[in-house]
Amino acid sequence: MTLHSRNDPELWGAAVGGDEQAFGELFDRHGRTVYNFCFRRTADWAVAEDLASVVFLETWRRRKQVRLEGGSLLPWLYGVATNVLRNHQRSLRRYGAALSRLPEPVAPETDADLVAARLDDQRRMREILDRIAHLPRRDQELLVLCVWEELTYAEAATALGIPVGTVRSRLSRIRARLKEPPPLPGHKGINNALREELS
Amino acid sequence: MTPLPPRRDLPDLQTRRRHLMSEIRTPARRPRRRLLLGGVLATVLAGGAAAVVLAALVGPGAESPDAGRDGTLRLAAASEVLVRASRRAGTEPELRPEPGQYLYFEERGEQDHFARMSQMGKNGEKKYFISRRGENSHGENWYPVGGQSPGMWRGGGEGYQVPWPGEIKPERVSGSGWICESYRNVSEAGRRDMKVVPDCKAGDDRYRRDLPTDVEAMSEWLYSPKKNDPSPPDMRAFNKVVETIRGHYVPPKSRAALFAAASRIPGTVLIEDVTDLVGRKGVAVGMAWDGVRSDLIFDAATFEFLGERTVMDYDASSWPLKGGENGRKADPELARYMKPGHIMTQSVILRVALVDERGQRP
Repeated sequence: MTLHSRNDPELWGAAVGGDEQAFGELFDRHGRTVYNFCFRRTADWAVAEDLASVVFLETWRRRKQVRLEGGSLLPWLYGVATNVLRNHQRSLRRYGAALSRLPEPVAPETDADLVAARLDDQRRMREILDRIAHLPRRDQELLVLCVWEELTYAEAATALGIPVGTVRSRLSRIRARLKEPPPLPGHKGINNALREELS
Repeated sequence: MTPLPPRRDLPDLQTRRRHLMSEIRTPARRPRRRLLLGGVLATVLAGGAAAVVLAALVGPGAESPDAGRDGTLRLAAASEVLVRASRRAGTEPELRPEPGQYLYFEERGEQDHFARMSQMGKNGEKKYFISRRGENSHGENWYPVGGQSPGMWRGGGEGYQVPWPGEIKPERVSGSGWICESYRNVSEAGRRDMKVVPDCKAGDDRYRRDLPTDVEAMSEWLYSPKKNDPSPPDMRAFNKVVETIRGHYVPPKSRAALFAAASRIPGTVLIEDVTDLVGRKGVAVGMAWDGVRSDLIFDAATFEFLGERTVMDYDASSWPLKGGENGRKADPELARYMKPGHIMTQSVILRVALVDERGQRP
């Protein structure tokens, strides 16, 4: 057992070098975030589950292009997820064979309260998505990353592959176009200038 | 204002983690330990079919398929069946949908095939084994005419996937789902909330109003070039006939033109005394390539189109490039189980009609 847990660049380096445990560790670390992000864009927990796997598989497939921003793989994963979500039906089809190798869950969900809560999540999420549906796709993507996912300018720029200055200017344009402030995460976030800019 | 729903934990995180790790380790094909039923079943239910099988037939060092049947007689008879099917189609009443109606399609499907699979051993070495998988399904589909809203399917069946030789242990599932969504299996689809209508509907409109009604134009359309298809032009044209009619409603005039154009495709064979999945007596017209024959099944008395199937057929004499020199060779071990005449897939139409609502039966 080691006291030092490896950081993202170390894990990523090891994974690319053939250490599959390292890749598994990166999934442990970021899988939940990616999963929730996919849910927030699709309003569908079941689809988000598969998409989370697809995001990691796609990241692996394009591993030569991966850049780590600020010592974290997460912004890159957000970028891959954003691309995957642009046509998630196609993405799921592309990885259909890989997903079909997933073992069946041992037992289907039996907690009725949780099932109901998840259905309720989906209804709410769909309502929220409807409210930003009038924005162009690129603006929706930026808004979700910066406001709901609380990425910094630099992280959002890495995720979307655009300059930091563009992030800034597009956000002010979005603010002008929004009819009402977007819903915020239900918790107190870290300091985020974008929040102020958007609310 | 509605706050964002809370973040939740990824279910089966460890399973997914292991899955990812094994996927990056071996990009190649590995056995599906999970029962396949859903994946395949859902395809059949949604009016698709299994073209996957072909790849499984390829193997090293196989014998060349044996040629030497008389193609001439068969050819005339097979085309005769298609001419009669064309006449029959021309007399069928046309379904004339009103805006917002759904095309109701009731189908039965069956699959049974063998595939060579590989598995990673403890020391990273590849192990091969034969797997048998199959299923028997019954499904109803509601396709939006004009594609106004997403289509839906409902159905069920039983399926198995087992190492072979072995014991067949079928598993029963049933459910419903959206045509445009992909599910890992039927039980997953069955757990979905069908009140939440998805925003996808691509490919849901199965009313083919876009096809030529003239035989010449239809023939030209069937032979229009297709990229990345290595099969001979006649086989491609025949396959296009099958794909066009399978899971779609082709209005009578176009359907008559389709079968008439098909009767002109050289290389078709007649298969008499066919009994379809639900026991109807029929005749089939097929074309073989690459070890598999594609059959269109017609009612033996009325020549009404009943369904289609794929059958093992190593005979290459009916195929224009005689002797099969460009064809792939059969895997000898698979060929032991996939004998000539073995029916791999079959899907038959039970009812086609127009209804007003999704989920409504005619």
